[in-house]
Amino acid sequence: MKSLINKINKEKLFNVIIVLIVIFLYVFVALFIYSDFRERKRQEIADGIIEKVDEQIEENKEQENPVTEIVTSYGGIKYTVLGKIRIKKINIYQPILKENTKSAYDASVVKISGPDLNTNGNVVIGGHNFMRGNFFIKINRLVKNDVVTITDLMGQSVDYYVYEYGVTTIDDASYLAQPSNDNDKIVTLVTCTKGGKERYYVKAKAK
Amino acid sequence: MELVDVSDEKTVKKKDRFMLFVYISLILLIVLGLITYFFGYDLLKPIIKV
Repeated sequence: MKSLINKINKEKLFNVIIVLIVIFLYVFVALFIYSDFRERKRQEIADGIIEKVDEQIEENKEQENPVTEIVTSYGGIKYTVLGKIRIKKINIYQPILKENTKSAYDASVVKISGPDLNTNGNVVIGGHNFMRGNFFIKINRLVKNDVVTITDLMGQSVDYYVYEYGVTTIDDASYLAQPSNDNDKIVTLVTCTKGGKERYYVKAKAK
Repeated sequence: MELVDVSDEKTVKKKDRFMLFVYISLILLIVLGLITYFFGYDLLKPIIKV
């Protein structure tokens, strides 16, 4: 009798486990699909913004007073675009936004500080370290002499060559500093690492 | 030696129905998942927040 009760209890437990596994699979598939759709939508926004950048570059060629930033909006959110960044080695091709807001960081990479793009000084560009590699999750693969290309709204594309990279603490913002040589054109890429407790940065200089 | 099944017929039917439910759920998951993944993006785009 006892063994029969034990057997029934084990079977019930087994059935409950199977139902939980099926529910877990449903939740997992739903989250996977949602995450993929979210990334697709984000990339659509970024592609749309890059199209506007290319259109503005063409218009600027014919204008006496070319614009240095363009304002666009998607889904009710306004974005101010300064140019675009391409890093072929890690397959990044994204617009560079001006706003230091959550919406901007969710949509693309953002210019944190520094002079205008492709001018003398250190331009610092920040990006999230997630979103399936379209942001800065892979900048830790960049090594010396890898190329970062920045295109501004004048259509000027400048290649920057990586010369330094590393990890720094949240409190250390030395990567924001302007170079001692006024003629240097530098771009610094920065992202969070270790759950936001540290920053990973990559510095590249134009030749 | 002959094996004799001493299970209760009701219990066997219950088990069969339960496993059938599990298999149908899994097949439904795969079918719905594939349909949603390949055809559902345009429908769900307005409600997805970036």
